Amino acid sequence: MAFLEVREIYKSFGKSNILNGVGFDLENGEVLSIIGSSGNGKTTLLRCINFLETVDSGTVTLNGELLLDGESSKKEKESEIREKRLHFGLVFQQFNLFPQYTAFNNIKLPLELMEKERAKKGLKSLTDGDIDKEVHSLLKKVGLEAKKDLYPCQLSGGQQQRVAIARAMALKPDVLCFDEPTSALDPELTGEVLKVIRELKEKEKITMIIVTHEMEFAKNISDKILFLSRGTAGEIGTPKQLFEESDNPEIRKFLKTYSEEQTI
Amino acid sequence: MTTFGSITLNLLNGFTSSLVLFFLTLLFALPLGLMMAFCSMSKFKPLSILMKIIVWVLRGTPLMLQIFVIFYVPGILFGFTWPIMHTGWEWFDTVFSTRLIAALVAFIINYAAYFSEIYRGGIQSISKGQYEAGHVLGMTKRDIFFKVILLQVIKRIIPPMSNEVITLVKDTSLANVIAVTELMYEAHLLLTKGLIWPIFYAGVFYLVFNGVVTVGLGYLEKKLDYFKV
Ligand SMILES: Nc1ncnc2c1ncn2[C@@H]1O[C@H](COP(=O)(O)OP(=O)(O)O)[C@@H](O)[C@H]1O
Ligand SMILES: [Mg+2]
Repeated sequence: MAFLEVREIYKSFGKSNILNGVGFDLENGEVLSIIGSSGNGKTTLLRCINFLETVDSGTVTLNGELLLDGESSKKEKESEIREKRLHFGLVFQQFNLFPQYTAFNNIKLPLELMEKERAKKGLKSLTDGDIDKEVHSLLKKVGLEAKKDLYPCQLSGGQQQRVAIARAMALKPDVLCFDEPTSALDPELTGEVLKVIRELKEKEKITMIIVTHEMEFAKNISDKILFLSRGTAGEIGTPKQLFEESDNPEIRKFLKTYSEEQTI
Repeated sequence: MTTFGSITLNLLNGFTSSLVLFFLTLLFALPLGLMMAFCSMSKFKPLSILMKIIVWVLRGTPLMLQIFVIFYVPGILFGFTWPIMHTGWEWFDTVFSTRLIAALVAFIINYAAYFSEIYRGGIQSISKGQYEAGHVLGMTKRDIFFKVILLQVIKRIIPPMSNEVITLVKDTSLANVIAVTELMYEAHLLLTKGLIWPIFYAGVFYLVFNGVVTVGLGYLEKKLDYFKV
């Protein structure tokens, strides 16, 4: 049994079927990249895994625990979903930092609320000093200690996204998801964000699912690649299998478009 | 009897009621408007439709009409009379006449309707991403609203709210129609006695007070300048 098992996810919006039985396995510490043309359901898949959308059917199992079951997911209470979604973190394309909080407090807020809730339940919880230490160490991991007191509007896009990554890690999710983390950035800023993500894999051994259009990056960092295409369950394999050996014409066409774009 | 000093006292006396109307309307209409905004955004259709109709009526009919209705209709239909204050504290009992209380209720309901629309616009203008970020960080709906959304909404709605608040300063004079002894009532009384200048003097009261309100709101706006939404 794999660490994370996503099975047979079906999702449609009205009459259009977006996800058609998508599934994959991921081991602890592995990285999966999801590629595919725009509109093929990459964001939708991440949103389903993070409980931001309900699925029509399918299951998600983490560490043997059934977290999502299409059959029963619609009836679940908010508090149950809230607990389950803590297994996952999500970094958005548009960062979605909270504008009225500094970089430091953006990271601190969810942590503080969580610890307060734990304390209320009589569970062991961090003191305020411990929380601050934790936030500092998270900022250090993304190289932004010096910017801790700046507000999002005072940070570059790349810096904002790095804060968002630190914030997503604050609650120690088992799986960290990224939805095109560099698509909203100027080209010269993508490098710093990709570097941070690479370090999370190498130093922290974090299990990650990354939707990206950065093909070189995906090829280098990923243990597995999932190619999503319209009306199918998609194709999954190692970077080598997908980028070099696949004879799926859709994948060839998709990759060709990308390599052309790179050389233009 | 018609010295500058005594007339100033007369007008100040009326102005007290105007101020009471102004501040108490804000105090109650601001939270009531927020609750009404939540109702009109409710997923429970009957509630949201009902609230939208209420807001439509309150904004679509004259405030003066609403003051009349609230002051007279409960008495005529149900024999309900607005309570007379007996606190023994004379100033309080005089200011809070049944008339002022009825006018106050009308102001609160009317302004809550306007505020609710401003809140609704403000809340709906906040990007979905802010809620989603809160959700994936395990925050409760309540925490998301109070710790993340609300301040952004406040920043967004200060300009339209300022307009309403300035209008309210002037609208307090409408209480005059049920003979609440507010500022215009006093000035009008003097006018009927042949004294013209106090009506302009009353205008100065409104102007100065609106000046103070404007400066205060500008200060609040500046206070929230440190972030962008
Ligand atoms: N909430 C929604 N309602 C209706 N259609 C949606 C919704 N979210 C996404 N879609 C549609 O689903 C398809 C897949 O979207 P998305 O998952 O964002 O694709 P990708 O991230 O691969 O570009 C698109 O055609 C989009 O228009
Ligand atoms: Mg997308």
